[in-house]
Amino acid sequence: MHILHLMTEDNKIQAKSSHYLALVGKCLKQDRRAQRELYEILSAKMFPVCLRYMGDREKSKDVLQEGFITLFSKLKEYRGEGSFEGWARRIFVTAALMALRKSDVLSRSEPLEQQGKTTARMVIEPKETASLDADTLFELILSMPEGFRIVFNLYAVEGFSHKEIAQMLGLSEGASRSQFSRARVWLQERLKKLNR
Amino acid sequence: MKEILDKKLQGGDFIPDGLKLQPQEQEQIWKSVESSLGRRSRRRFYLWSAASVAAAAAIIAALVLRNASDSSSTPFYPEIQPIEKTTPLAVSAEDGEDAHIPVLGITGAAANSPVSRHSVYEDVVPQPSQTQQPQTEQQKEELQPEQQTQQREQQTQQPQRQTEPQRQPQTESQPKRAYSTARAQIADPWGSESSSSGMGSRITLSASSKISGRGKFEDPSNQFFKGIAAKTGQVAVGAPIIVEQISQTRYIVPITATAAISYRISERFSIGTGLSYTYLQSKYRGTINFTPYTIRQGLHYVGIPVNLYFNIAQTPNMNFYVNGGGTVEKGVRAVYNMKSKSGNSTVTSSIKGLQFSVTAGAGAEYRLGKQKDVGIYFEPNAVYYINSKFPASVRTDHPLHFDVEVGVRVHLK
Repeated sequence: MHILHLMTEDNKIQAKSSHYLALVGKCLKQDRRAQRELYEILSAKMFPVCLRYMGDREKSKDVLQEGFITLFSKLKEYRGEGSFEGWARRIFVTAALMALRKSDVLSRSEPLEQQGKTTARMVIEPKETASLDADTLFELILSMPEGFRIVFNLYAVEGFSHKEIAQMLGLSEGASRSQFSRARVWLQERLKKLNR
Repeated sequence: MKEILDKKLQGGDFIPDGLKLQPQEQEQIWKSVESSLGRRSRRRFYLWSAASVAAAAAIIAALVLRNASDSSSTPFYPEIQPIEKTTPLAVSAEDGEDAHIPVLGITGAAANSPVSRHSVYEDVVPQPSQTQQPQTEQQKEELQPEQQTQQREQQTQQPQRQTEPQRQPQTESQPKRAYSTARAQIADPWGSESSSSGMGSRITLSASSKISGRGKFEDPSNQFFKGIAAKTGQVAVGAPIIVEQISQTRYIVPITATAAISYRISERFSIGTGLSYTYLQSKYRGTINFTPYTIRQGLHYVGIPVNLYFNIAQTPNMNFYVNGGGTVEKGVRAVYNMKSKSGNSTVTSSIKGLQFSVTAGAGAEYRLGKQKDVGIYFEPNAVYYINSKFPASVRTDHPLHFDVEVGVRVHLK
């Protein structure tokens, strides 16, 4: 006799949150095993985040390491409000941005006018992105110019507003919108080339 | 577009298989992270260990230096001052019962004052010199029967005392020397050191404010010392007592042992209570009716502390914290050991009342057990004892002082 135990989506989320909370509690008591377990769970999720921002595997591994050191030192600040993964993700995004800020990436972003033909307005059709497979999309993001990639990731993937991005990067809100528009145009150009 | 990207990239978690973190890369990164965590923990541990050890060493060194008595320069046997004659003071044996410590023969305010804070100095009116005068009937009735016996013994022994130096009478022009005046009236219970002056049979007490060396008790008359003398039988009941502390009081560092529980109310704050036991020991030299004694006093207290703890730093096995709170204690027993050339005697006494104190300090705790919920701790504290009326001790002499607490603590959360 098989007993099927069905969990709702909410229950899964709650169970996950409880598990994270339990782990966090143990980590705060300097339980090395709990720290290792938390690392193994998060490293698989946070490495893609680091890679999308840094564009380079070696630099991404450095940022991942820095991110975990920061996470464990700031773990006591997590109050259990909101998703733990979301809280952790912000730490890794910040670590990536700090690494990028060191190389002053945004000031070296290739201006749109130097990227070839400029159209008045180029819009990426939803069906174009919908037909893309995830691997290709990911590769495209990695190959973006650094400045475009940062704003694109922050706005389109992480979901920050342009106002928040401007504060994080020390830009004006208009500059953030401009960078994202340019990133979309760039992506449009690449998609057209791929679809040919 | 956002929705499409979010779906494609699985909320940002997606990564192509070829770009995923390999196990050896994951292990390498973990080693670096773990090394950094260990360095940080060790650094905090070493820092707080050094700070705790330095603080504890400073506290203990201060206590040891303060309690070190200069006994080498203080002669064990006091130099007996010349005896002067005086009018005996009217005293009552019942007055002492109201005091916190049994006291014989102190009247009025002196008997009811807190032991540690009151210095009894009896200003004695000098009398012209006189030989021992016959007792009046009234005077005889005032004496206890034992005293009358002792006085008769004194009178019979007088011929043997003729070789003693003549006591110079105190005249009006000479300064008053209260503590030395009463010897002429002492009834010597052992019959060996009685005065030849034969001044009379009234009960006389003398309280001295003079302490040779650097005495510590603020109450140099040692009310409880007199009580000890009475309890140990060193002086016959009703006999006058002259006491004098002739050395510094040496305090042993108070040690408190506690069994405690604590409850964590937030990440860094905990509240705790428990049961404590404290032992206070002090030692000094004194004379009772000019017989030298070494007095060792041991006081036993049990108490209930309540403290708030703030965690400063933590490693897997240790945590360092600061604390503040208060304790209410009950004196359980006072034990006095008196040692003289003729032998030892020990007496115990109860201690009345409650003792309140406030505490602040720092501590280090070593966690035990799988769940790290039991700890052994070491905690030097600054303590202030509020309105102490207990037997004279380091607490009454120095209401603000330092002590050391060691104990076991169980953590409930």
